[in-house]
Amino acid sequence: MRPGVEVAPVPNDLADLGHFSDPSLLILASLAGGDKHGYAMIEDIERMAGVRLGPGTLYGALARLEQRGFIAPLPAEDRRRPYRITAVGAAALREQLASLHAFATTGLARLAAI
Amino acid sequence: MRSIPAARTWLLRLYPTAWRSRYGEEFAALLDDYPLTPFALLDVCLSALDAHIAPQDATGRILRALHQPRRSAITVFCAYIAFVIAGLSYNQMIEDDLPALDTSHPAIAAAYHVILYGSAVALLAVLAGGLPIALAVARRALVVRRKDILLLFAVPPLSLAVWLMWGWINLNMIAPSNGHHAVPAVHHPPSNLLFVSWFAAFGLAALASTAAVSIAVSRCEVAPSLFRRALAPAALATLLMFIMLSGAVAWGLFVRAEMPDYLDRTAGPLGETVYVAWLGQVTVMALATLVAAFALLRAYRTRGDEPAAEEPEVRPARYDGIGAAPQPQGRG
Repeated sequence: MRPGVEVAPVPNDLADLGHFSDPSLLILASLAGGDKHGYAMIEDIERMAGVRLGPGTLYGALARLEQRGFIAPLPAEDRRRPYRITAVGAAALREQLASLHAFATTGLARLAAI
Repeated sequence: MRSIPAARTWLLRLYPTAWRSRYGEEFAALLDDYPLTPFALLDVCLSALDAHIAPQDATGRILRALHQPRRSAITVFCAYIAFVIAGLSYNQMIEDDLPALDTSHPAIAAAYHVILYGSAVALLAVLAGGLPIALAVARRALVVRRKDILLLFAVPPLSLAVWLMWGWINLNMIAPSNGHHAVPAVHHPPSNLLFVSWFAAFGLAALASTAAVSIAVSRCEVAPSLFRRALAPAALATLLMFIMLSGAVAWGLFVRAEMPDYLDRTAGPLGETVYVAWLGQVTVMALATLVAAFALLRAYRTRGDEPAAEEPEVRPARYDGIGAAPQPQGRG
């Protein structure tokens, strides 16, 4: 899938985003707060989640997200290329976070009953 | 320290051409900003390897697979097995010459003993970390009646039996004249083919056993704390792998300095010299150590993200998007 081509993702695409520590989810959550280039994403994710992504990890995940149409590249600014979350990416992120929210709610409710 | 242009160029060259043409410029800009720590170097090397392995889908499969303690523990285990196979090959290569090396070349003998004692302690560390996990997986497989998991656990003893049977057939039926040797003798040309088949059978048995145990552990849900607790022994095993690798490198350098002719001797059944065989063994050891170290780094960097749930049953299918497909399982 090429950048900018928004195709409705199949459920497996969403599931593949995986655990909340997965770089893909962290990147989507970062871009949900606005367009950013690579280093700005790393710093934002570190502030947001306490996880500092390595440069290889970041770009491996960026390539995956771009191929799936979850993010789109913007024109480069002085060699640094910002990325923007797409509508498909926002939907995927929303679904994953809702799933995590449901999980956390259930877990906390069970803990409260102990 | 900040990345220097030469290092940045070298790192970029690790990636496939197509990847560089798409991301090279912006990735180079990122490397300009990013401190070039050893972790960053490892991260980029693994990412580049991933881009080569999965060029159509730069998903970061290798990197992602290493993120969780479970995946890290399995990766360290697989790397350790690869290291052991290289170490056994090294030991097989020099064992006939050990008495001479031990008495007349103390530096060479010392390097060898670093590997020998390191391997014993590393084995204990792997057992300390891995046995509780294996027992928990086997117990859970029995409780929930997962025959597939139990069958996977049967692979190592079956592989061992097949390998021993192959050795017995070799020694007693195909080449009975070698029957007095514990293994086919590599330095005797008539038995070269037998040695190759014997060692290849060992490699296949080890590969099958490692894959089966790894798949079993990745498929069966057990308490995540087991994997977190296994990280300390895994770290010790990885440290020992590094020490043994250093011993193996030192051994080669000492041999080169003290008895260079030894490196030109024929070492293996394929006619390779000791130098070539040693180079191959050290390369495998280095790669195995690198992979294990990276898996551990990943696990320690992300260990705070692992869910605290000790009971696997509460994990919904969508929650664990990495690794084995979760299967609803009751308490028995």
